[in-house]
Amino acid sequence: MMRNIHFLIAVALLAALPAIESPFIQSMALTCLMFAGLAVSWSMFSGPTRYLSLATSAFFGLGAYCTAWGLGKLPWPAVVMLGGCAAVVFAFAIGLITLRLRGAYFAVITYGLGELVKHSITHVEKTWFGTVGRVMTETPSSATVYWTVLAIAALAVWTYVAFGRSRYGHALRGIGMDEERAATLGVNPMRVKLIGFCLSAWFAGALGAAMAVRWTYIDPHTVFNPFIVFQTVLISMVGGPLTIGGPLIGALAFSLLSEFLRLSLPYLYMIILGVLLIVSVLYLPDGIAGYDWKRLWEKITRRKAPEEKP
Amino acid sequence: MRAAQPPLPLPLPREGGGEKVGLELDVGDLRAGYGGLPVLHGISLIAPAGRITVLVGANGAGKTTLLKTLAGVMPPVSGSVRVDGEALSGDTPADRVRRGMALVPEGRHLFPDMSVRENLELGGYLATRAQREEMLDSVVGIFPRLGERLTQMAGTMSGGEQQMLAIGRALMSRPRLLLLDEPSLGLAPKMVDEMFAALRRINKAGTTLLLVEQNVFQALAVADFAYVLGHGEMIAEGAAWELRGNALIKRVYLGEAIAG
Repeated sequence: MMRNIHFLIAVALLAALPAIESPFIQSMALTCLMFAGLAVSWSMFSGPTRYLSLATSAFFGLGAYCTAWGLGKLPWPAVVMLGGCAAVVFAFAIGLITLRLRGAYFAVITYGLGELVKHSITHVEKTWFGTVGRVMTETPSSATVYWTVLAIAALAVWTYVAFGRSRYGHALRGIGMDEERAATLGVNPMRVKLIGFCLSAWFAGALGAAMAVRWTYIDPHTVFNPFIVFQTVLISMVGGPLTIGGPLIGALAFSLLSEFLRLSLPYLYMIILGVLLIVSVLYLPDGIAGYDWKRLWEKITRRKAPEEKP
Repeated sequence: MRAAQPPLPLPLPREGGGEKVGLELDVGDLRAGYGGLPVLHGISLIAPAGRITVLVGANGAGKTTLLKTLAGVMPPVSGSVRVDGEALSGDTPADRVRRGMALVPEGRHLFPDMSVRENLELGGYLATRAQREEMLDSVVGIFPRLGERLTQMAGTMSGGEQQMLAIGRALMSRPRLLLLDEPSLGLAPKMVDEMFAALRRINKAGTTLLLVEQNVFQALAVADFAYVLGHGEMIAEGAAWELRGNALIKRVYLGEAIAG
């Protein structure tokens, strides 16, 4: 109950942010919320199952292209919904093929299929529409975009928690630990994995649809940018995908870090990201949020205690 | 041994009242193996409804393969598996759970990073929320120790407690036929006694048990019928009390079990 109230207060405070008329803060908050939404939705599926999905960029890009095609023809909420649904359809199709695979194979194939979509769209745009990119007019106000992204991110957080508590969430974790065992308990692993994968895809697609208007001009290389999925995976892994705090902390830290470092030290920024990922994989396999900080604190204080005595 | 046990709080039978609970398992000439390497060379056995049937045999005799095939996680090469006369060919593991079959796997295979409650809830995956709650109470009634540890991570419990959780998790689907793969493996003698007592109570409520064991003496003591499996073939079968006195079994298998 208390958690619900905290969540609602946080959303309400964030919703009031456009009142501060600072484009810098608004744009930073928007990036932060986008990555929070992406990381939370990624963790929803990849956290419990330990399937390293690299399809996020494809979902995001498909959503963005739905906006490019639908903006002006459809009302704004419908455009965003359409973006999410396009990603779900794609996730369902590739899920049927790839969710039988495990480990590195799954990661490579999801990445490859994402690239396939990117190049297919490039081809279709060139041959049928005679264009390499699209300019978006009639874009909604930046406050509308911000509230849309906030709503999607908040919905992702709520879904993450509710799904994790449901029997599907339990089943997904069971599959991650031992798929055959889960099957003997009556779980249909393929069905549960597909549900989780499609659910996670909807958020990435919807975020892509909402964020597309920020660029005003999009082409496949900007919206299917692999950097989107790498950053999402990084945030989730460093933060820890198994608790809701993980991807949220990760998204906040990375957005701040990238905002300050990318401008001043562009190369050092990428190096730091790489080092952080290595450190977190080696020493924090469950991320910052999954680490037993209390125990570390006790260890440190216990070790220091005898030194102070004499 | 004969001390009055409290009545088993399992809400079985499922529908109606007077209907029989346990399913009869009938395996006919079952052949199975891994990638062309045959492990079971035509196994036939019957686990009569409402009884405890035990399958003993040395390591590598094919006991686990048999249970995996029965649970539907491994496809058989040929042969039939029937419960109450209905063939199971083509049934997925989930279909078999729906029919009332449940497996307690060897080595327990819990979900170590999930709590006791979550493990149990996953066992009742196909049931409705209300049924799950009801069965959770029943399982805690059988294994009170699990009730005290509902929020503990399954992986941090002792071996005996984990085995109880594995059995409890299988009970969550309200099985009418329970398959158990070496439930006494690696347990302290006191826990083994406790576990066999629990199995007897579960059976008293009507559930058919097929118990695969290496702990031959205790298994034969609780069972009604027994089969002896050796290198993928049945080498002896009969009433459990008969096999206890069988000289061949004693020499070949029980002797091995004691030595090893």
